[in-house]
Amino acid sequence: MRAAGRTGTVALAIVLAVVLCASLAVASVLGTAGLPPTAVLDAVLARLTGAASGLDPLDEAIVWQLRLPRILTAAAVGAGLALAGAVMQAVTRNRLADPYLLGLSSGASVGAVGVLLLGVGLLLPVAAFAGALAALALTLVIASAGGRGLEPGRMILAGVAVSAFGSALTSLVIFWTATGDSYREIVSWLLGSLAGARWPAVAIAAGALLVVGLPLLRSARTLDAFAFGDTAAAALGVPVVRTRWLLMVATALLTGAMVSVSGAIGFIGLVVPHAVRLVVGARHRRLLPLAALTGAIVLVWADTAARTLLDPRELPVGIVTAVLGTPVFVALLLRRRGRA
Amino acid sequence: MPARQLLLPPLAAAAAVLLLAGCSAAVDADAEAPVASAEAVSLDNCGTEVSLDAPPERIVTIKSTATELVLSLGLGDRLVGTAFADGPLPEALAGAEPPVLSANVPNQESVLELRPDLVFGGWESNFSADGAGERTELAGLGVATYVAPSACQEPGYQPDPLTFEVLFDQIREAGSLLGAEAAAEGLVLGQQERLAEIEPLDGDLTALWWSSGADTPYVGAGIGAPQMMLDAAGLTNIAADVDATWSPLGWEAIAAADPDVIVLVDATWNTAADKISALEADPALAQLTAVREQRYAIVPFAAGEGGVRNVEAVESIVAQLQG
Amino acid sequence: MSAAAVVRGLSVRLGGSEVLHGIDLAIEQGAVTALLGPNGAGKSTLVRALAGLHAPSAGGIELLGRPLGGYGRRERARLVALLEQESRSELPLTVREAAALGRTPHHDRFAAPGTGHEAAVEAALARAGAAELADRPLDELSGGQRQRAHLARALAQQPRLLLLDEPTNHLDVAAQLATLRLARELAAEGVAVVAALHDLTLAAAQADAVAVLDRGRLVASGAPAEVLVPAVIDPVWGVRATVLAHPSTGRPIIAYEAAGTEESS
Repeated sequence: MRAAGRTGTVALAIVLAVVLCASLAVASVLGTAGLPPTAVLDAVLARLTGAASGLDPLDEAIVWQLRLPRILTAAAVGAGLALAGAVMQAVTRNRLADPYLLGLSSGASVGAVGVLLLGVGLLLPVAAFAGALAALALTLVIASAGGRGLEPGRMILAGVAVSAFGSALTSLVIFWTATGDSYREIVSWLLGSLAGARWPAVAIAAGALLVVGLPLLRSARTLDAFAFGDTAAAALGVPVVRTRWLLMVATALLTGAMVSVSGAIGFIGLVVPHAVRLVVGARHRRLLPLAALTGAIVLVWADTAARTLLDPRELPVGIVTAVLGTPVFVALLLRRRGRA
Repeated sequence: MPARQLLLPPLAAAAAVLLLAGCSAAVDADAEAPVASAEAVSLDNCGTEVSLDAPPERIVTIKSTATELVLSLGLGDRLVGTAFADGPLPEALAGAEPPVLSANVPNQESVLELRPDLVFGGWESNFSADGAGERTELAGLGVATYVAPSACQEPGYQPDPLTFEVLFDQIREAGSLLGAEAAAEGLVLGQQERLAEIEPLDGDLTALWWSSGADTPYVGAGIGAPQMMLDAAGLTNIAADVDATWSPLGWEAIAAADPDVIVLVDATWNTAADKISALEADPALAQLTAVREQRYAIVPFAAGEGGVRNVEAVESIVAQLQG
Repeated sequence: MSAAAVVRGLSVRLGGSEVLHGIDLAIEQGAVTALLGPNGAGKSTLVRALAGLHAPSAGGIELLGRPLGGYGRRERARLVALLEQESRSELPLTVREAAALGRTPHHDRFAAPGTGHEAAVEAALARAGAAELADRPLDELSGGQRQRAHLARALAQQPRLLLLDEPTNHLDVAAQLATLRLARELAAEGVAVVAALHDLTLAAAQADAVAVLDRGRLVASGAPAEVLVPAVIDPVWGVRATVLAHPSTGRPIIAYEAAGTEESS
């Protein structure tokens, strides 16, 4: 049942990469505009080669400016969230950890409502990112007060407290500025939505994945060493406190970048690492890259469903991931109980 | 006259029973005609029975549509508080300065402090525990409540679709509730004349009614006030098939439909100017015909919901798109 | 035999109070040293200090002739392995995966694990008696089986100094003996083994040297027969001990009674 050895991992990674490419191709053809696949292909080729596509400029814009950046952002965000979730679960030694554990998503929400409802003059992604980092800083300060290093239990509690505070602030702003249907501006952001993803969003998400995500992949062995606790990790020669700080900050940067372009999409960071761990085991050299690929595939499909299921209406993708993620999560939990 | 006064109470009871039994899905003007005797009025409003023994003297309104209706019926001196205005009053009512209770939904205590005998809300949600109060609770305290019928959400009460005839009947109903039938009739007649004089745009133009939202726009859909107004203006709503009053719609669907014109709702929290900037800045949406040709019509938020400003809004839309 | 580790005047403060005071102890290579003492005496703290996990507030530890603090973390981890009392994990590792963690300090940062590492893991599993459990997940195993998996992890580090913190706590008698027999075998190969133990007789039977701690101080150290005498045992454990010699090995066998009771004859 467990894929054995290094060759098994590489084989699985190749399979998943192929599935991801196929998913991207299929997703680029699906959409409410009902463009035939040939038209999609023409539009993409034309852009890439600089030739004229012979398509209506609006159709070309649909493919190149609406759909393509959106599915690419979905892939990058899905990969980033799954990766961040897996790292978070290892560092906190808690399988219920998700990337938003340190208050990141509620901090980002505060930034987002600041721009959307209070009219703060920043770009939305910038404000959301700043909010996420502020929440991280607050969590780390609280968790390390008393100077016992970043002990996982305290980190989780501090994160919960900061999350609650951020949510309360967000709710306060929404309530305070509630005029007409102004809450509509924020609701899809809070649920997580890729509807606003254009090429700059692709740059942010893919950039974060490359700049922060790739180095995180290399922390696989260190993450393994945390499996039995701080003492064992220290005895194995890992600088525990420093490593934990670095991993937390890296995860927060990665997650913050993703949240800033897509809002707080839930369940990917929590459920995907779990599911992948069931299949390939807990060694992070396998888990991290495979979870990232799986997360990308899942979110590409979830977003496709979100934008085509209720044609011509649109759902925030966070609703789709929650609807899909909850039964999967319950199934994983039951499976574990059955074994123990 | 004695005979009438003997017959009317049982008729009133029968009518109330029929109404409360929830007959037909369509809003039928006759079935919902409020039953009135010389002074008392009793009617079914969004599933709640509203009874007044006499026309209300102390009215609190929530939301612009309610405030503007009361003012348009000449009852400004009976307004003791207004709340949650969606924008400034229209020119026609510019002189009026009704007392302002709150910029947002008021809480129950502040409403009760004004000792109203009627609270008139523009949305059903205005009457919640942390808003003006639950309708049944207020009724128990002797305060009647009324929701603009066009805003009722429940099937059977939600107008499907909202048309100007239905809207005018609602104005008449409000008039009889407020003891201003004559004023209501006059208002309706005036609006009907103005409506009849509007020449709808020709050219089979398609339109998008963009109310709010940025990444996923919230648009006027098939059965609500936006649809009503677009029809009267001679525009075809690209979201006419969506069975809702308003609905979120994907930009891709909008791009695929490529509307000829875009009606932009202007609200303080999401201005028409911001909407235009967003459209022009977006590489995909800048390709829309309406954006390239700058064919916009701007409607203030308060005029976008069912009320006394809809006819004026239609006139404005036609005028803006004619040139 | 030269010393693997020398503890000089070591004091350790934890959470504001001094847990170890002025410990002087030599840990010999190729020998099994038992640390004994009642709960709270500081055995675990001393073990962890030897692993480099506690900074001394006074004094220091030398490892193979160099100050312990002077070693890089990974370098130290290649020389010293620690088997803790409790090792719980939330993650579903197999026994082999847990054992493989022991190779962490040996991995070159940038290279993939080579076959040398895999061989070391297999050897460690075999040595610890966990080879047939290798593919089973840890959470399906009994306490004793898990102990063997963690022992394999420590062995996979290929240490010169092996520290065992109460390794016999959850084990039955046969398993306890097996663990200590393994310690003796490792000692015979030149590894220095330090084991914190509760059972005085077991320690006396298997250890080459014992050290007795009481409330953070070293009370006595040396050969079992010299140290484990009533004069030392009674005040430290608060009991009345009777020490007999084992008929064949001559090693001490300790019997206890509660202090203050009269022997009935």
